[in-house]
Amino acid sequence: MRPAITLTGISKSFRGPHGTSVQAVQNVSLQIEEGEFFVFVGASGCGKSTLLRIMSGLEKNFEGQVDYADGIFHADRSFVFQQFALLPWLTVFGNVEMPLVARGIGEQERRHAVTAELKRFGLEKFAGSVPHELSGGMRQRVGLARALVTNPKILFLDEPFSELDSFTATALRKDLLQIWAERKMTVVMVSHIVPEALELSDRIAVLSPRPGQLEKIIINTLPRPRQQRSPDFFRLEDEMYGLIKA
Amino acid sequence: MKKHRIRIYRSKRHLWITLLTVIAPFVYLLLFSQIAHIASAQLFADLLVSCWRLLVAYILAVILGWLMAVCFYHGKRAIVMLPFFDVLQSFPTFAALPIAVYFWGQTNFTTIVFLVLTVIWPIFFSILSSMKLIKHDWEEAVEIAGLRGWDYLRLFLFPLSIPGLITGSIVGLGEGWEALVATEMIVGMQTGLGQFFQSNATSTGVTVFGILGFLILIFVINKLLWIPLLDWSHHTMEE
Repeated sequence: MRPAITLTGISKSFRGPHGTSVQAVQNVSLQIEEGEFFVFVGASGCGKSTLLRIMSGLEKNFEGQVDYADGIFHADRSFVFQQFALLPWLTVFGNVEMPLVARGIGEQERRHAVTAELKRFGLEKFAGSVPHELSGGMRQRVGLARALVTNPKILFLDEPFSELDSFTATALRKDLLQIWAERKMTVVMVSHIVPEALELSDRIAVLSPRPGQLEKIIINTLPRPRQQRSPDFFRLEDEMYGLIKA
Repeated sequence: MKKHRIRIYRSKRHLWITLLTVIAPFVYLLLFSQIAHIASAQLFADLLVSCWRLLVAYILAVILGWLMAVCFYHGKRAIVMLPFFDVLQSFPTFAALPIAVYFWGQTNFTTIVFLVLTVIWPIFFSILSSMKLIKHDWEEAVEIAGLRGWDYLRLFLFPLSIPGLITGSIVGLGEGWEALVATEMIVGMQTGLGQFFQSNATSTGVTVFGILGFLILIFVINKLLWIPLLDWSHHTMEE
C-alpha cells in the first residue's frame, strides 16, 4: 500500500480576540494509506476539524505540507459536513447533481449517476423534495450521496453523525462501512465519539488538547464487523479514554 | 370510501379578490377619464408609455445591480468600493437632470437613465445584503464540489440573491414610480404620466383622482406580484 495523503509538519494558528494568535494545530506529521479508514479523535477544540479542512484543501493558510499520491486531484476529493451544508434552494436531486455539473458531465450521465446514488441511500422518492422537508438523517444521507456521486478517491467526513439521533447514526455508519468496503476509497473522518471511531477505523489518531498535536496513533486490529460489547473493544475504548484529555 | 372535502370556497374567494384587483384599476381609469373629460385612450397610452419606461429602467437596474453585487460583495473590492457606492446612492440625481437634458435632449434615453439611477441602489444594496448572509458551509460545499464560472453564478449566487432582489425591487420600484413622474415632468416629455399630471395641474380634482389611481396601481402590483414573490423567495431559503 502507498500513502494517499502525507502530512509534514502541519501547524495552523488563528487570530484570536484583541489580535492575539491562537495555535490550533502544531507540527502534525503522518501518513494515511490508500484505502484506509482513518479517524481523528480528540477533545472539543483540539484542531481535528481544522486538520481535516487543511487535508481536504478547504483551509489554505497553514504551515507545513500536504502531499497526495500521484493521480489524486482536487476532483477526487469529497467532503461530508457536520451540518449537512445542503443548498436550500436546490432539490435533493439538484444537490446531489451539483458536483457532476461542476465536472461538466453530460445530462444523461448525471441523471443516471444521481438516480443510482439516491437509490443507494433510499432517497429516490424524495428526489424532488427540498432539504427543509427532510429529517436530519435524510439530509445527511443527501450529504453522503452528494459526496459519493463523483466516486471520490478520498472521502473526508467532519463529525458526520453528531447531529443525528443514535438510531439514524447507527444505520448510517453501517451504510458508510458497506460503501467503503465496496468502493475501496480512502476515508478520513473526524469524530469525538470513541465507540464510533473504534467501530469504523483501521487506525485512530488521538490529538492532544489545543494546540492539537499528535498524541498517539492506535492501530485498530479488532475483527470486522466490530462487536461493541466484546472485551477487546472495551479494552481499546479504555485505552483511548485514557489518552484523550479534555 | 371517505371523500376528501375540497376547500373550494376559499379558492373562490381568492379568485374573486384576484380578479377584483386586476379589474378594479382599469374600471377606475375608465370612470376617471369619463369624470375628468379626458380621452380614455390618451390616459391608457400615457400610463403604458410610463410603465414601459419604468420597466426598461428596472430591467437594466436589475442586471447592473446584480453584476455590481457579484463583483463587490466580498473581499478587498468590497472594502474599497462600498463606501464609494454609499456616497453615490446619496447623490441627488435630479440635480444633474438639466445637464443631462442639455446633452441628450428630451428623450426616452434621458428619462430611463435617471430612472435606472434611482432604482438601482435599493436593488444593489438588498442583493448585497443577501450575499453577505452566505453561510460558510454553503461556500465550502460549493468549493469542494468544484463549482465555477457560469455554473457558480447560476446554481449558487443567483438563487442566493433572489430574496434581496425581490426586496430591493419593491423598494426600488416604489421610488421609481415617484421618480418617473418627476423625471418626465423635468425632462419635459410629451407623453407619459408626467406630462398627464403637468397638463392637468390646474385641476385639483383631476390631480387628486390621478394620484389615487396611481396608488391603486402600485397597491395592485404589490399585492399580485411582489408579496407572493417575497413569500416564495423566503420559503426557498428555509433550511
